[in-house]
Amino acid sequence: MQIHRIALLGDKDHGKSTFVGNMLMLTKSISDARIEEAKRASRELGRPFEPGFLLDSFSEEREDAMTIDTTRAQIQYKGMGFELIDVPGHEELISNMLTGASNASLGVLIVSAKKGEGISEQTKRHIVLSIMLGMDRLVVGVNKIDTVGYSKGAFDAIKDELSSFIENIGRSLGNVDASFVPISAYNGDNLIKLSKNTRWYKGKPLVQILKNYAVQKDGSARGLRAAVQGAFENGIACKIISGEIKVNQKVVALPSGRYMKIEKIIKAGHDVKSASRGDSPILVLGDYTGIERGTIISAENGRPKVGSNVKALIFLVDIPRNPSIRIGLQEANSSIIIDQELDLKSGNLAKCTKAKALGIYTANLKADKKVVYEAFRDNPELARFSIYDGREFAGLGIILG
Amino acid sequence: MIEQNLDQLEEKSIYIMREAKMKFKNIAALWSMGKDSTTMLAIARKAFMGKVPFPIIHIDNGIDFPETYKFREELAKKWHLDLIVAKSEIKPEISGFSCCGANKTIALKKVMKEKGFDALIVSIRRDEHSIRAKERYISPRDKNFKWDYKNQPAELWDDYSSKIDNGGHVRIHPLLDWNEIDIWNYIKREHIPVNPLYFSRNGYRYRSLGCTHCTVPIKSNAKDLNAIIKELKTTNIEERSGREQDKEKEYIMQRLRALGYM
Repeated sequence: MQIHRIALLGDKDHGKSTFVGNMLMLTKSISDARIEEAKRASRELGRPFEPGFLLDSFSEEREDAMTIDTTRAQIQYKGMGFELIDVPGHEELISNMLTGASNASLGVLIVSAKKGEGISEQTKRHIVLSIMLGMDRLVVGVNKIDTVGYSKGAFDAIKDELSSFIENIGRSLGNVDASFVPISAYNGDNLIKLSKNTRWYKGKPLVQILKNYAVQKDGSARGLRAAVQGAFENGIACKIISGEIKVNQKVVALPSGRYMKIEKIIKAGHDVKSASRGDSPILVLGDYTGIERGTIISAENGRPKVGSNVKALIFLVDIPRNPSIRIGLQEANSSIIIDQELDLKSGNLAKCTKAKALGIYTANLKADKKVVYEAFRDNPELARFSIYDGREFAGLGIILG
Repeated sequence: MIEQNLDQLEEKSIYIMREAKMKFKNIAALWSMGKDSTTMLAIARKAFMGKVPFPIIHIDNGIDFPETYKFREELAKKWHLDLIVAKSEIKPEISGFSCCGANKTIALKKVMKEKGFDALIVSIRRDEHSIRAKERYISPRDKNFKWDYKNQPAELWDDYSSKIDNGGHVRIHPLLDWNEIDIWNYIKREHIPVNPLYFSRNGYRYRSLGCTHCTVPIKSNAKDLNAIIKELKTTNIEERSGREQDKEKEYIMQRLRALGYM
């Protein structure tokens, strides 16, 4: 069964873990023993049953009622498989959120309609990050709708504000398809079945929207890009990050620009005629000149760019002192000159020179060697990069051009 | 239980193991002779052109099942494994948490230090336990084998951290994405030998294998691979329900793992 990976997004305490926990129960995708264990843990803490405890399993997570690290849970619904990736909403745990969300192709944003909660900077930060991570379809669960009397007005207010924010961001990063559903993650309203409490809502239950989004094309038809892991036995080991590779195909190795012919492809120990995105084959070539870890093997036509100066949109977890970037399996030291800051309130860019942690910026990068890359609009797989400071993770970015 | 695409799982595991082999100097793998670590060895053979290119450690407390020892000898010979048997002490009065936590981890620490291993392949899966679901593919442990679970490294896309603290090591988890039923589907597809204790005898079989002291069989009539796969499609019982150390107390797995348990 094909598993569609879905990242949960949204601010802390808006109900991401509760949502995932309840989805596990409503789709009967979890054992009675796990439910019993979560019930017992809730009781011992003197609280009503918390479905989020099916995911939050560290003692600290339960005692403090917060998700510390990402986790995954699989559900099955009407013949389709989904992996829900729960993540922490706290700002200081954003690296763990990125670790989880980087695996997803779809996003579910949970935003609470409860008085005093609502749309925050963190809500909008997560939206921008999800787009940077390559999610172009977003289901927004307007949660805790029961606490505001299932009010259509509360739902519409959140929908209107986020729609225009997403539209604004989309103008520079590409279109994002967003659907809004009023839900109660705790009570289950509109998760699997339409709720009688929100008769004014004319859309589909959340899981149905996920199902429709999941079957849409995911861009696997892009040109061949394979990242070389290293020399291996009688060939090179690599990871195909987009497209397909075939025996006898003429390819080009970048950044060197040398043409090569694929003589043999070995996948999981067997000779095969072709390999595609996600595979890790060994390639046997006639000539290995200039090929090393990080080299990109590309289709002859429509090849990626090679250069050391790029314009990027970056998100900084920390301010790096000695920044380096990792793109595909390439690593390069790079200076980062901040240009503009993204204002999370309006979604507009404004001139800025000094970066702060948790900020989103356009920046000019100057690497100390040639890097193989693509613009985000052309191929996100080779446009995204992580930023390191020495050996510490410091952020991520996408190349705009 | 969801059945995933075996080719995709296999390719990802191969990628992780090759990354580990290229990044670390002195790598070893743990083998309990159970279905998961035996599957991991089978994948390693495919990843590395027919042979397992690293030493295999069995932490032996002397009280594994006779069938398990026999299986170890036969497969080690057949697959030409570089097998290291690390003897662990066992006191009959100690069981569960203390046994797995203390005795086995002490033996592991000793052999890692003696041989200077900096990376250890461990065949845990996310669906086994909610604590294991919180693991990274490549996860650092400090010199005392402690897992700093509140401060795990970022792991974006296919880029795994290779950070080793001074005197510490990393755990490599190539099977993290696999479900229990995927393991059995793969064993069937690849004709991987398995310990006979997994098959039903007199109405019982072992679903998860530990040592004789703290593993109990489940009620089952599954006598072959097809029957096990069929059983797993409908079961609502936890895989590790027969493992004593998981149930003693709340958060026992968290404490065991934080202290360096495999």
